[in-house]
Amino acid sequence: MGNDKSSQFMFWDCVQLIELTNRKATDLHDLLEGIKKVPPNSIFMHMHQSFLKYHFVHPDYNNDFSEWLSHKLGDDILAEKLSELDPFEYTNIEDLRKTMIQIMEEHTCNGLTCGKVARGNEFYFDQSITLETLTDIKAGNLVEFRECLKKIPLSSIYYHIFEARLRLEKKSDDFSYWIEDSLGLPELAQRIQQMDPYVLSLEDIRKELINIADSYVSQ
Amino acid sequence: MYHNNHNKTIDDYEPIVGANVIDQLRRLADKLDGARVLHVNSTSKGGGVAEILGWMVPILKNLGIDSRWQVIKGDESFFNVTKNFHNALQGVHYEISQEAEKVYKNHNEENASSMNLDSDYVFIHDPQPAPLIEHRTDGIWIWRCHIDISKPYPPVWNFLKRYVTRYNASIFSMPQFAQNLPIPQYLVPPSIDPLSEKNKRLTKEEIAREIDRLEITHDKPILLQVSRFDRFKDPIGVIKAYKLVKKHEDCILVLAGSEATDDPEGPAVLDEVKKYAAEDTDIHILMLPPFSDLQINALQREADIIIQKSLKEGFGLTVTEGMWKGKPVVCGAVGGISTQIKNGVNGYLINSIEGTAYRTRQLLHHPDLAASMGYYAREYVRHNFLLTRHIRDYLSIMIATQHPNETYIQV
Repeated sequence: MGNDKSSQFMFWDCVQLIELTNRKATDLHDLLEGIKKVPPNSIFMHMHQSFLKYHFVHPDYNNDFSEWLSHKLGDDILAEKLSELDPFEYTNIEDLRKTMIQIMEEHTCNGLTCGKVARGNEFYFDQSITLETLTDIKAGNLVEFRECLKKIPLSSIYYHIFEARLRLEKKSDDFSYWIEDSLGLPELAQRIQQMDPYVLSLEDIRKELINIADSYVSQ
Repeated sequence: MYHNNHNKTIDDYEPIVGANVIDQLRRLADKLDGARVLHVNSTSKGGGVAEILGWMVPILKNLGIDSRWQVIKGDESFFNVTKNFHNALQGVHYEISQEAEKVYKNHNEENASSMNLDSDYVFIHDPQPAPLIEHRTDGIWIWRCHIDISKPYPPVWNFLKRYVTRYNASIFSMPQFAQNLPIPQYLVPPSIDPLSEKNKRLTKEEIAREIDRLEITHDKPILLQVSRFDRFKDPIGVIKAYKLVKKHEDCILVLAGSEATDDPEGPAVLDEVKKYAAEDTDIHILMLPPFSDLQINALQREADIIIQKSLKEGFGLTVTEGMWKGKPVVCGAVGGISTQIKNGVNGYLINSIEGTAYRTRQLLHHPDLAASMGYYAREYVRHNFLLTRHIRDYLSIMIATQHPNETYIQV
């Protein structure tokens, strides 16, 4: 992401291309082995791709692992434990992976396993390739930033919030970094960082960002 | 080279998918500006692949990609062999004789000698033209598999695999359909064109005119299955389900299909279905000529419930079409249909004749439920299975193949 530090925020967009890994899980053991061995971008994808999908109602879980554990394998306890993981507490996927493995090993140690899923309900490990493209949308100040938020694609919000922070191993999302560094508004940046995007949809995040920006603009 | 009369531009899709989607496609296409792209398949009419190529090639051109579509030629012996391959790749036992192998290879060699395969990207669709890879001179070659080959009859898959592994990459519609391959395997579900004759909005008068031409009177609920006359589509099972429904609710069943030049079994299955339907005047069996898209569109819009009782399925684009028309669908829980339907929300998934009948009766008695399922069905298609998403994935794959082993690509 190549924003001009001195002034403008350039909005980027992304496309997620999915590649198969040929690895699947029919039970908890397979899932654990998969999580240990798949590439980092597979872990990232399964923790985040739900945000890019259309949902009829807000999904029970925003990560694929919890979704499968609860709805296919019937292991709600583990589904809940993994759903409570906050990927933003980690600066890279490998650290996140270690915690996931630890949670799963503790869980299976207690003999809490739920057998195998029926044929057709397997978990397929995929991995993502992200193509980033620069849009012609840009903001030079907070008012323009707020206006841009209204029209950027949801995949742009996904890119600047999730991709930037975890996959690119940055300490903050792109929005709050620019607001602090270029606009000199650390309090506003902090409010954005305090958002809880893992329980929101991308449309919810857009609204929340606009509300936060509005509250500063009106001051 | 095959030409299609598709005359839409990418901008025509903006009211349906939004400006951001179109802008994204333009950015990806700009990266590939001037690239020469060739698609090769085995039929110009009938079936989902030909339909997709019919709109994809012109829209790619409109986006600045130099795209072409060629169809391989074959006689009856070739298509008999490839139909057997098709069935064997879906699990049916079939021993490849030396003669069959020779027919398959020779036809592909003959085709290669009369085709211009010189392109930057070559997409070969399904097993029929797979051996064309032996005639590659340059460019990136991608094998696009539209069918479920997860449980093939091994000797046939092993034979085909020799060709497939020589490609740069492959594409499958679902992870469940794939085989373990040493080349990259991308996931790309197929799609429909919302502005095509088959899917565009029709007025009430246009619908009435087409239904009238087909000699169907909508004086009782219409149940509809649109598909080739193929045993995997279980048309006899649909009639059995209809008979169960009819015990409770008077209704009409329409089974509509069209001929495909690469499916020699079609006429035999059609005869079986006609015999089974016997003298029931409420069963309409329609063998529509190729390119009867407007009639199919009208049928889907006029139907009360759309059935797709497949026993095996590639992706099930006829289901997608029905969903796009905002109709409640009752479909076999097989193949790509399971990807399209969240059971009980935007349609019903069934596993038996009885299940088909029961869900159909439920929907006939609960019009509000049918309407809400239809609404969710249409929105699900809008977000996942329209041509713009499909083109986005193909453009992305073309770019990704220029960056092997990279998981993060700045376009």
